[in-house]
Amino acid sequence: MQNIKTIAVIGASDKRNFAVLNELAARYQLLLFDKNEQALSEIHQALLSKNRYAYLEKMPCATNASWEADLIILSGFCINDATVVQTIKEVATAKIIVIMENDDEFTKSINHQVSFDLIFPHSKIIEVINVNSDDQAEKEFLLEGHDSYALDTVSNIFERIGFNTFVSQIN
Amino acid sequence: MYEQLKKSISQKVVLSNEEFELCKTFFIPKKIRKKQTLLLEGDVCTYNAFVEKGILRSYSTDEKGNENVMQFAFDGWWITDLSSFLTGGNSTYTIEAIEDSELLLLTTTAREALMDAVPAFERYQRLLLQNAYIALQSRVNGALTATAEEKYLKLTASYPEIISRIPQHMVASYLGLTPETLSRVRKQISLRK
Repeated sequence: MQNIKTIAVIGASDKRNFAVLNELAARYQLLLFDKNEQALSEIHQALLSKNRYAYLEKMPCATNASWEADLIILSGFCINDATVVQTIKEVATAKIIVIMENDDEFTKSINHQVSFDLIFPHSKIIEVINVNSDDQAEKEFLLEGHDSYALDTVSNIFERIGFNTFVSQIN
Repeated sequence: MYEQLKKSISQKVVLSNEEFELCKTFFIPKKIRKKQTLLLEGDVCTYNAFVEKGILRSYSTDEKGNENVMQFAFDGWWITDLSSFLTGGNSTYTIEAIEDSELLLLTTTAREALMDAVPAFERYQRLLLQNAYIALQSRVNGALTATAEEKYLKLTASYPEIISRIPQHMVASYLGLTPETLSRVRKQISLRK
């Protein structure tokens, strides 16, 4: 298992991922980045209010956040923001990149996987799809990716913070 | 981001640009802040770290809480808990950044894969291990036979940057001296100049 201590969350203001970030904050150091500074501050405050002793830092730059991190989460608008994606490309080599897919269209997610593999050819892309509707208390996630080691690592992290996962290795 | 690594490899083996580009894809770029740890004593060491910029140290802690410095690593050096890294056993050392540092990390699996993909890298690793063993023998011999002053003079002659970049108490620990003894040695040397 890869040694994960610090996680960069690029596009942290996406509120659909709040439940995941909230649980991650209790166990990992989170470096939060978002282009929308106000939304970032709001998420930072909300996470801090629920995790008083957590290590949470607002980062002014996606590159530095990703460079310091052992694992990178891409969420919200950042998934489709070519500028942000390009700035983290060099520092993401050999790291696991988790794409938080909040779109329900399953086929679109597969297209994402293909395009992210091309953008980050030397990273391990894991797509995480929320398979529950938002109002369900119990969250379950489908994890898709090529690299079995990365799939195990991400599955382990999600299970550890209290979520159920289904793993799908793509050949 | 890879300048020191390229320099280090090319000092020991010949690599084509294509081979070096391939090498780069196996390394995890990682920034670490001053006083942050890369490895905690007792954990399994999963990385061999190359220092592109900054300084790290490895140390063990005794029953009284004293830290015993095993190694410093400056720009262009490697640092790991070799026994833990190669055997998967628990580490004896903590590895900590003395300055904000930029590292390139190689996991055990990535190292094996890289040595398969680029045979010259295996030769580079062998030469590194060879040199590390020679340095270790020299250090053990120095610890057994040299006086405090001899140890200090040898260290500062070999690595002058240690004086300007490393806190004195860590240098003392590395040499197996108390901070007070090191201070006295430094004073004696400066009085003779």
